[in-house]
Amino acid sequence: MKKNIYILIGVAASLVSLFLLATMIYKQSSTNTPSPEGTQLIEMRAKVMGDADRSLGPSTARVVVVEFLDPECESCRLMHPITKKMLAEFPGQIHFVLRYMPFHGNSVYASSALEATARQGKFWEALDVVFEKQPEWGSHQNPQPKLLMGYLKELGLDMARLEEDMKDPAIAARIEKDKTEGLALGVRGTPTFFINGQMMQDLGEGPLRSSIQQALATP
Amino acid sequence: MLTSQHSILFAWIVAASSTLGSLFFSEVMRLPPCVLCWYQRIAMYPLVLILGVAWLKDDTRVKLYALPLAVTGLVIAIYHNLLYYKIIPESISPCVQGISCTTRQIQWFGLITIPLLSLASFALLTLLFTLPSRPRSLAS
Repeated sequence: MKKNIYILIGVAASLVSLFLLATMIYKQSSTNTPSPEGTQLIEMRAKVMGDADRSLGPSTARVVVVEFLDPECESCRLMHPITKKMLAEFPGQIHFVLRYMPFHGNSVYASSALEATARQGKFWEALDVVFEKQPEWGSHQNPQPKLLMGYLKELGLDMARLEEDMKDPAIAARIEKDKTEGLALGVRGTPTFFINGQMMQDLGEGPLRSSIQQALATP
Repeated sequence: MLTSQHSILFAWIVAASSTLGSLFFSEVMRLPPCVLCWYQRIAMYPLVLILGVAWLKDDTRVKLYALPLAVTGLVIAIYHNLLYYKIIPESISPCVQGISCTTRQIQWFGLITIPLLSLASFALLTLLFTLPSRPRSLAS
């Protein structure tokens, strides 16, 4: 019995050490990736941005922030005011691009509604409403996506046109394209941010601000 | 031929390595486990504890208790691999939300994938629990 304990502890310690060593090597290799420069940077930025048809800020800005979001995701809702705050904090210095990554049950529905509002020039106002009212229409226990229509109506949208536009296959294709490209870029959760083509590892106001500052400071 | 005691220690190492490996994929590499991966984890994780206790207590009867877990895991792993390698169409897969069970997240040397590693572990465990082994008295 005593001998068995020693063997068990020895093997367990070796396995755990191996695990910790692998973790260290993995973390080091992922942080040591050299920052891309010149044409490589431009290529990476373009790849992450897609068509950039839902964007804010000048396209010539030094920092391109791309967010893959899901309208039904709670963390995206929490990050939404933070991204707006960053745009206000760094005026004219950020080109913000929004892309879809529908992971939840009603995400495609909500994303289609958002895309349809863009055709009436109310995309960003609609995005605010979608996130503000998310606990009501997107509750995981009892999702009621149809409630969205009532909230969007208050923005003065032509609802008949909106519902018609939502069925447009071009909108479905647009959302699907974002998702496919996002998965290929390694997006596994929402929201995922890319700063000048590089994926942000930590979420939150602090990490987002420091990533932007770092990108601004890079020559 | 392994002794019964040695096969328990060997099975424990297989279960512990699989457990740590799966935690490495999800917690370090941040690859989200799909639904079928979770079911396989449910069958694998308890084995680390019960095989560990059995090894300490020299209790070879543990194979009887561990076998149902290993076989359950093996059946799910076979199903997962059939889906993964498109032998069964995904339309009948239970994964409708979250990450799909057929999403290729890792492919080492063009061959080794996470579902394949799981299948290998459960197959090895099932063999260790069913193959006859030498009793201890003859071994020592």
